[in-house]
Amino acid sequence: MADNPNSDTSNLEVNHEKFKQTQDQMETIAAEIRQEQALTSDLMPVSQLRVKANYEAGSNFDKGVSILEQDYQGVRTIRGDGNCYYRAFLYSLCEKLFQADKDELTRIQNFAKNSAQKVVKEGGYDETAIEIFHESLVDLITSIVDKSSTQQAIHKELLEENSTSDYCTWYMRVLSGTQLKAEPDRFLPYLEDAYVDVHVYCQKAVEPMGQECTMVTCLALAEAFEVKVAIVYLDGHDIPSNNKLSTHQFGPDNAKTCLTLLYRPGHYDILYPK
Amino acid sequence: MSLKRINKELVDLGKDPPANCSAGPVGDDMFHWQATIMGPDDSPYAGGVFFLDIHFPADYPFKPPKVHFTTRIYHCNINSNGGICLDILKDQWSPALTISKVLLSICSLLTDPNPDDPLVPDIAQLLKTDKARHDSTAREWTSKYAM
Repeated sequence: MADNPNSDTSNLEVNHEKFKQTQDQMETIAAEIRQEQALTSDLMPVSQLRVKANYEAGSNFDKGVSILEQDYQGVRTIRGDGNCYYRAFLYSLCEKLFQADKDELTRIQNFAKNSAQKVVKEGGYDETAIEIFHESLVDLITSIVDKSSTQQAIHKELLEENSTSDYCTWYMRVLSGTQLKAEPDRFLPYLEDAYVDVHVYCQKAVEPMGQECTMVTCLALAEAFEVKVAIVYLDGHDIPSNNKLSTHQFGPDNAKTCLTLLYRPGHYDILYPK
Repeated sequence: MSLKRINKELVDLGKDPPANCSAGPVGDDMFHWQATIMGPDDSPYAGGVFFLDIHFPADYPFKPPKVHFTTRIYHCNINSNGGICLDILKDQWSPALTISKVLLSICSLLTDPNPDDPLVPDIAQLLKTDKARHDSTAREWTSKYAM
């Protein structure tokens, strides 16, 4: 191999060409997803999951949807762009705030306001980099707390591309990252094997938009906001004998706010209990 | 929102400029900047002044800025068009990064080239086999194009 000085060059060119082709393909898929899926859909009946995903009749997914229909009145799907957990969390939190009592509203609003200092100090984030994202979240929550926005108006605002939804969704990543960095020793054992450092993990797997979340980041975000997140698994496994889908809960047990999300392999949506 | 962020970065660069780097808009277009990097002292690029062109995409900071050298440089991760092979300018970009951090990363790349992920394999090969000759060529190019 070393005898031919050109072989390295041509291999590299082939690799770069392949890399570019893969990137182009990924761009095309991403553009299709943007075209076809709203950032956050309208509320729809749970049975729509079956229709949209074309689940085979009698499959574990199909049976799982039937079980969901007993306990949940609806589902709101989130765009599958790698940001779905953070975006689902954000949207669901906003909806819950419309029903929250005064104490909880004040608590969440204060948390959002004070978080800028926390992410700079504890998370090591650059103030210039996070400022507009922080403002975006504070504005959004404040408009709910002081009732200057209706639920409909918030829904519409969160549908806009390259706007509030993306800005706040990325800030959710920063808040997750800060939570992880605050307790590196606790979270390190749960990271994928390739990672030996929580900071590097945040840099590579949490901070870039489009990087899917893992259990650790789900947990970190729930703990950052001190809200409970219940995740119901529709993952194709055999249905347990008690006829319930398995559910995992993150965040403090005594939390006043509880978000319910639906997990399907690689994706999160919002569920609405009856 | 992009413009607000870019303005903020410009103000910050004025207040707290990174060592050996500068950057700012070329004309009235805030989305088009020029930057300079002084060749780091502990590298064969010492004494050189390298110019870079920066274009911010409309959806900045969700997408990375497009950065390339306009001064020619002999470096295994920078090609003859000035293209830079740096992960944070590609899939490792995140809105947590700023132009200031990007320029500092490029400075580090000048001090510590990465021959295992080369953009110019011949230069990487020479760096691995004959560092002295590599450095001497890099110095020649620096005095020819960057001084």
